[in-house]
Amino acid sequence: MSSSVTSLPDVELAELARLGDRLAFEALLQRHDQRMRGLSYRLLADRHGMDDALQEAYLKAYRGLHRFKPGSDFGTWLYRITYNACIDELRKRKRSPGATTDPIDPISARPGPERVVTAEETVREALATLPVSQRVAVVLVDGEGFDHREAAEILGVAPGTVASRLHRARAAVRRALGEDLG
Amino acid sequence: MTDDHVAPDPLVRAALQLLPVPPHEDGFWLALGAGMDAAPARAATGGHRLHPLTATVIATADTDTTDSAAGVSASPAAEPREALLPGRAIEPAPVDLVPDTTLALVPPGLRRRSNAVLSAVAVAAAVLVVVAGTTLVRQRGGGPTDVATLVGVDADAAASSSTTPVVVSDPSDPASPTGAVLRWVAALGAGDIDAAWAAMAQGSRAHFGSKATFAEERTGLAEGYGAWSAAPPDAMVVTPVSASGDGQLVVVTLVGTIDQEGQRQHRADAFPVRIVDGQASVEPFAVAGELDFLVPEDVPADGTRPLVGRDDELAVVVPRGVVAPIIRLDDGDTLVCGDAEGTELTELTDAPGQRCSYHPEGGIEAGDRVLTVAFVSADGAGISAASVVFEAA
Repeated sequence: MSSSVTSLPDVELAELARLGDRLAFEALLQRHDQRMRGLSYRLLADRHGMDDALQEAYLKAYRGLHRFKPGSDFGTWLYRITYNACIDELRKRKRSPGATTDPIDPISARPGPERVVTAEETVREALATLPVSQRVAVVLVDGEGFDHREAAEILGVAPGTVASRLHRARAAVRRALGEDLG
Repeated sequence: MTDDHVAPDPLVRAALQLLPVPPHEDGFWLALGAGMDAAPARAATGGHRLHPLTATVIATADTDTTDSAAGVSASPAAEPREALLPGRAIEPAPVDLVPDTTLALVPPGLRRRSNAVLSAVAVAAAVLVVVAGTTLVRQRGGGPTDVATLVGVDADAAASSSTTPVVVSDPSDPASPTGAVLRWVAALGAGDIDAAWAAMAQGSRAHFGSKATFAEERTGLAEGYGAWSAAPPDAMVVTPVSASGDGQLVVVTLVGTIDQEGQRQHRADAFPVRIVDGQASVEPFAVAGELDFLVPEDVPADGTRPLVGRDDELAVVVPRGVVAPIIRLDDGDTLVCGDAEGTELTELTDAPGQRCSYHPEGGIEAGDRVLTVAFVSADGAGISAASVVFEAA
């Protein structure tokens, strides 16, 4: 049987990868990379940090393929590893001398009365007000389109926990957007 | 909380769409390929075969033109195939998937762990958990002790000072909560559903409804809770939560480094245990409501999370209406939130729930710390508990 890597469903590619086929794993990375970039960039707000986190995440996934459960969702598994890598990245930053408490640079901290606040900056500022656990909840549900149960599976917490975080996070984001845009 | 609360929020969604997702920096894929070359993946030895044994896998051009990435280098095993290079057409090449006859296809559930490992866990538990003795921390309403803490002292001292002994130092004793937890995780790790089912209290059995339903979760349970069976935990902390005529509820917190989801994690997990008539049974599924850590942030899986400052206030969210949640830092005093000095229990104004906060006197000492929180439902049938490892700066 002949097939194309890009036409195989995730479940088959993942099984091939699990059995040692590196091309299948690379195909999975290509397929999911944009969403992983979306998650990590929105959590870290920094392109270099995003790449560092994704290097770590993809290598961890590669080395941990033998532990991937056959038939389970590869994307969910990779999201979870990526999220953990982002948390590691945040942790490294907080340990670095002179590091800020949050990687997202608050607009309000920037000098100059002449600065122009763009909509993008406003959103970044709103996200910066959230703890990471809440930030990832809105990124996964409102940004990536997961329902809260899927997000809970990715994060390894109860669905109710995600719902609770969403509630608080959205309220905070709305407040922040209202203050800056309103 | 209903689904109404978690439907997509159009405003937040639209706002997030304003954030661009940048491509990788140059060299990302090359660096990744080098990393993969340096640490090849371990091929799985079992599982369901979802593909014919021999297939031709064709790598085709990737359509993501926003990424300027170079390609991932091919693995030695795949030579002379090209790797997946975004934007480049690649010659098809066969991939041999001839089965290795030396690799047996053994379902994970049938792979039993060595008895030696389980014995080591039990022996280590006997050494580690010289738990005992209840030290009165607080008395609510002037009544008898209903919240106490067990501290890691020697068994003899504990026996002499205890007024309501709930823990014995020997994990093989049926009344030992640590023993109940260790037996349960060992059974899950070994795929022994009968033993795991027998080790659970009635409330947790009722959660599943039947042993058959419980057995359907065998794999997930083995990879989750069962991961604690692979090696002895570094430490165990026992926290009594409540006592009544129906028995006692305690929380056993295991602290250690385990492998889950392909990652090695330093973490703490809380296991509720119900002790009735001298028999301890785990009660992890009769939950009384959701717990949500605010500080430290509740980060799953690998246990890493942002640092907590010395003067930070520890905080969790518990459901509205919960009375007397307890909070405990490491094996320190077990405190009733809102009652004990340094704690507050306040209603949230912008979300359902109550905020339980704790500001330890003198601040939080630097280093790895464990925070445990638990509460019991009004009828005593449900118990929620959670522990997290965090690092204080």
